[in-house]
Amino acid sequence: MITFYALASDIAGLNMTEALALLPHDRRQKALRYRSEIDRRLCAYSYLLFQKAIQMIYELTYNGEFSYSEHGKPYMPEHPEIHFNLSHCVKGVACAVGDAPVGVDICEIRDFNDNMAARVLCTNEAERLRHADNKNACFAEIWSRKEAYLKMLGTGIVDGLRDVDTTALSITTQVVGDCLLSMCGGRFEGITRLTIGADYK
Amino acid sequence: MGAYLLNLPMKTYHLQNKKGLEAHMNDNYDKTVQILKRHTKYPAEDMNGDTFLVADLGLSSFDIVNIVCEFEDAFELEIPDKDIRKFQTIGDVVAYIEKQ
Repeated sequence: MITFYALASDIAGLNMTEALALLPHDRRQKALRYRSEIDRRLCAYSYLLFQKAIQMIYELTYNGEFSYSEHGKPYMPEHPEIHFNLSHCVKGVACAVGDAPVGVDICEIRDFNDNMAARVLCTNEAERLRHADNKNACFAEIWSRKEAYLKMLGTGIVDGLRDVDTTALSITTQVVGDCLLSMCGGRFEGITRLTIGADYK
Repeated sequence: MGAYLLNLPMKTYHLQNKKGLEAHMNDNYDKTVQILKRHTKYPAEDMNGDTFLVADLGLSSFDIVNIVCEFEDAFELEIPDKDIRKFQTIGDVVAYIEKQ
């Protein structure tokens, strides 16, 4: 599994008119539906990042629409052997690709509250949070790892977020810019920042 | 005497109940939108029952779980994790709250 990512400064430089023209119909509609400009950019950028990633790794040019599993995990119907997963937050986008099911999450460090911690954290995770100096960073890391794991499984939010113990799972997390990037599934082969330039074709 | 024999009062009774139900639903809708407003940059006028939480408002999973915690407090109910995926639109949220 290799994970590609881009940060807000990369995304700000995207020419949206050109980017929208490169998207398949459903992705363009999805991007345009968002109320905010930044959400539109993130949606467009994540697809272009995916395109560039599979071009680099598999030498595959793909301009098609995604199909979606029962719980919304995207896949290429023509290439089910290529696994990928996308994520975006306000400050970045990420795309993991690999030969086995993969999950990725990119998130910024944010405030949380006790109710949310009680809903999300298992005993081991709550203990880790209790000892953390930076509570927000610790919670964001656990959240990001849990999200990446559930996205790898393709289940989305399950019944019992607390039943998933991320401290016992093989998940890689790194800091990229102001974000935390978590990924899992298959053999970890690296993380690369990848910019979609104005010359993107 | 059965209410069905009193045509006018029965209508009035029905109307009052309906108004009460609508007021109750509007109250739940308003509370839902107030919570959503705190997590988005959009005013209440930009939302309606058909507004999608993710596809329109761009809310993340983190936002939604956070918001569900606030729904539980505001409406004094428990929302299991498995029900979170039912919340596609604002209308779905209000309908769910009405059912509880």
